[in-house]
Amino acid sequence: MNKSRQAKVLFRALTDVSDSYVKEARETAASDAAAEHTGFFTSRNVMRFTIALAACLVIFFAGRSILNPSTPSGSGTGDMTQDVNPLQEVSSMEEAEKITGFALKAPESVGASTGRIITVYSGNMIEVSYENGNDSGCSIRKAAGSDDISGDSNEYAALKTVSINNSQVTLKGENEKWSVATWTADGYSYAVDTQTDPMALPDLAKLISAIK
Amino acid sequence: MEDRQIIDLYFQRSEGAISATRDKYGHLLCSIALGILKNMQDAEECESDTYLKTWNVIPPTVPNVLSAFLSKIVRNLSLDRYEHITAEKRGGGEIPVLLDELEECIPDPHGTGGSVQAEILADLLNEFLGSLKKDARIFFMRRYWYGDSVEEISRKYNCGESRVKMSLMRSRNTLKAFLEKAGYTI
Repeated sequence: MNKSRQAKVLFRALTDVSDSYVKEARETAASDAAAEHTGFFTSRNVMRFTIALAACLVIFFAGRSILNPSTPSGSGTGDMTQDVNPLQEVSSMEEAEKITGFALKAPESVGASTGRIITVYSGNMIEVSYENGNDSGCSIRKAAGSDDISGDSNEYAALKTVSINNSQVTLKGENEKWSVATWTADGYSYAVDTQTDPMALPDLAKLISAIK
Repeated sequence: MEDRQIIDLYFQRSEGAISATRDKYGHLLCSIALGILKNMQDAEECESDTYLKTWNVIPPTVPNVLSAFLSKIVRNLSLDRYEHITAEKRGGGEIPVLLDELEECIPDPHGTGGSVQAEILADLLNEFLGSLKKDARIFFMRRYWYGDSVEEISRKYNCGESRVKMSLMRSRNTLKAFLEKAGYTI
């Protein structure tokens, strides 16, 4: 069977995934669409207020993780319409710092990147994604704590730990090209994801040294 | 009306079940069909066929999540219709683009793996979706389940198209790794 036919089978098979995933994607979108309909969230000025309000709600309802990667409730009775949009694209590192309460120092560009996007996740993680034209490049993440925040669950042939700037950095990749790097320092967890263009150790070490 | 009440109407064989379903989920069902077919007339016909099929299977079936139950029916009916339309060479729209993207997830043949049954494939896909972070999972489902364009997703979630493209690309890479690990061939 050729790949085109296989893709069709895969596309069809998606129909039968868990109801909870179908519901989750529908209700989160419906929640946002309802917010859009009110016109409330469409104003950038009001959005700033919303961010602050969302942060307060996150604190108030401490313990409820909105980025929980585990299977969502599939009971059919849960109301997900109160979910907060977990993504917040911001225009500067300063804006990200205001939301999260911590700063991330990261290069303006990586390799031949043509731009970068700064995103705050759930008010507690900053991600900088570097673009290469229309393609996606590497990304850098920082969050308080010591959890692995790479978000990369792939299995790699090679795993290695090296010391860079007094931090023990875990590398994942293959053939001496590294796709993921994770480490902790000063109470923060960091991750670099270069799976679209894996890097050799000297280049990756140089990049990691520029991150704080 | 609560889903439980709608399902009760089906069990009572009340025609009010269909109008209640249409009132609550008609827009959702039509939008799923439209995302696949890109033709309102075809989408509306699939929506109507969904009510008929639902009427025929409830009872005895008791849906766990009614919205997902209906969505799966309309998605299957829409894909059937899409295949019929493309067989007559009058198709087009977003599906060829989605299929091209999903081809990236198909592992290269090794000649060792066996054919995977549909149920096992669905289990694999569930495992893959469970491994994703919530935002990546929602982007993936909106793109490949609901057929949203990248632009639509970025608008719905108030983020840039590059952000969405990057997330989708990473999810496709992850899916490919999942399928390879499972020795997947179709």
